[in-house]
Amino acid sequence: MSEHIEARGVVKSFSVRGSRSLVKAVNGVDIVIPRGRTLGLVGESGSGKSTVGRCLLRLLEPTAGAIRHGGEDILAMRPEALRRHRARAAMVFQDPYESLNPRMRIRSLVEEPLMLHTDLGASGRRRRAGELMRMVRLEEFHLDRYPHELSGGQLQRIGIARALATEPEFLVLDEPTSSLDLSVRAGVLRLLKRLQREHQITFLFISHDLTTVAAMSDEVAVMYLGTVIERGPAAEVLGNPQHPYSQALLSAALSVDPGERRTRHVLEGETPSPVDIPSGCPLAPRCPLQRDDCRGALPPLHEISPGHGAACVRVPEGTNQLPATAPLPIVTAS
Amino acid sequence: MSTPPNDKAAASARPMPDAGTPPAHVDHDRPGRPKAAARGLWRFMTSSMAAFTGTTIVLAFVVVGALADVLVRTDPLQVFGSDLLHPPSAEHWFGTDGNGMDVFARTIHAIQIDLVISVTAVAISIVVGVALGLVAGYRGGWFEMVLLRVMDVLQAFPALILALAVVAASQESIAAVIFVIALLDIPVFIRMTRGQVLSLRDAMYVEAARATGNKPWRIMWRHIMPNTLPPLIIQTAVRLAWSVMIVSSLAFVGVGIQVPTPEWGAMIRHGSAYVTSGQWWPSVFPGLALMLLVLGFNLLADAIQDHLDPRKD
Repeated sequence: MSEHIEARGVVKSFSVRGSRSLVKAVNGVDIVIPRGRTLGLVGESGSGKSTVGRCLLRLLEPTAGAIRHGGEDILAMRPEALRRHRARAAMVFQDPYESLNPRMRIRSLVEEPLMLHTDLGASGRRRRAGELMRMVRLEEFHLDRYPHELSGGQLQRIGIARALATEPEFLVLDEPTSSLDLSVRAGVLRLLKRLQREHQITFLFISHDLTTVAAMSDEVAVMYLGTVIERGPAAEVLGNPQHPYSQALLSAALSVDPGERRTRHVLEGETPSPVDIPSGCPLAPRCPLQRDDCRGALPPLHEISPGHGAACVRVPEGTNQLPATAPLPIVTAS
Repeated sequence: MSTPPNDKAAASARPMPDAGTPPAHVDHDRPGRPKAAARGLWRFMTSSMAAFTGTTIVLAFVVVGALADVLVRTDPLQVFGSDLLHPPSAEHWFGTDGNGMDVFARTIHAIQIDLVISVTAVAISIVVGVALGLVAGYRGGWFEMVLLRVMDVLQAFPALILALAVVAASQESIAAVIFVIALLDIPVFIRMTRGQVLSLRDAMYVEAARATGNKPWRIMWRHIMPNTLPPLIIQTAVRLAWSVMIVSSLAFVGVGIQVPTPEWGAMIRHGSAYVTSGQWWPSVFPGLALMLLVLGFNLLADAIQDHLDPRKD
């Protein structure tokens, strides 16, 4: 399998205005996605997953690292080459209300990438825009509307149509369904899956919603404080999490069955500020299984099964399972 | 070819009453645009008393000014030798001034010069100010810093003193007045546009525009600029009122436009010598005209501000 998207040691830090300290949003992340596959990137807000996605598209300039797209070095591209590269790598944004210019008609928004990247004339663009609308299951007349005249689900599909206009090979999906109703969500996910199959598109699927990640991804990487602490095949990572953080994160997800009593793992305290990230394992200060050797250097990903690794020093000894906290009592109205 | 295209479209639209289905192949934009603009203007005018009054006053001034040569047959420069300082009468509606010129003809003709100078100056400052403000806000860096400091220096001078100095030092009066008003307005438009850009630069749709592969100038022009328009429109009306005031003020203190040219400020200055002896008409009528136009622009600015307030609907 050829690696389509390959990023090594990506670091991104932001300087804080009026202070010398740096916010370390991403601390050496490796991302590898084969062509036509989906990597699900999960983690709580502020874990750096969106920053990783933006770095892969060079919407943000990584502080360090190497990023390749089909063997091409993205970071070496000059502005004009990068601008043309945007036809091959696109992004679907989290909030469709915010990511579509309120003063442009849908037609201009959908045809814009065609105008920028193809030599289609006005009638060719018009035809292609109609095609894209059908592809995302919208009607051609929606093209003459303004964003405020459409619903959130429709707008998100416009965002997808816009991203797909130039038939990109790689799509960063930044929580594409988090602002959508549950009823609309399934439709958008199915649409994305179908388009991926038909066009062999590589996805980086960013989400904090574990259910959608499970449905979408071939592989999953779990991020905490700018580091990937566990990665592997989706079923492995989500079904049998090894890193204490993944265990806690997954146990916090709600089940569709409200009666189901599952083991619950609770981490004490708050996520530390990304300004002063603890050295060694980022989870160490909160981890109930923490011991002295967690504090030194960041642990490597220890392999559990082929392709499934977790960055916890206890993995090789198999003492990495969190103790169960008592399930929450069921509160009933009386 | 026998029926215009929009009639055909309208006819095909009629038998489909449900709102969700659009008529096939209607180009909403082209044929309907002037009509839609007129309807929009009417809706705006009837939205409030201020909108109605402001629009009426400004439109009246524009129309009367444009047609001054047709509407008022009396030459504003003609001297009625025997009729110096004649009070308002059937023959000279606003009387005659100290040179024996017809005050009514001069007041009406002055609309042209005052409006042309103000509109030209404000137009120049919009073009320059918005362009510089866009670049400063979007690019930032040393360009923004230098530009803002230069504007600080410009704005540190009292407006009228700066205007006086520039106009007095130059020969060509009308061009000098336009130049100095533009110079005074440019910082206002730069600061306003830059402020808008700063708040829009990090908007998600601007990042999306970048992700789509837009060039920086296209992002500024197509994606940011249209979203800065509402405050720009309001500021334009405010600055027009202010510019008319400056044109007249300069003439009133005796620089810029000089007396035989029909201009309100110059007329007020010239007539002010006679006010104490009871001949009020040479100054009061141009004064009223000036006041009315400034009032019109200010009402318009207020009304547009209310009209564009998104919380209104």
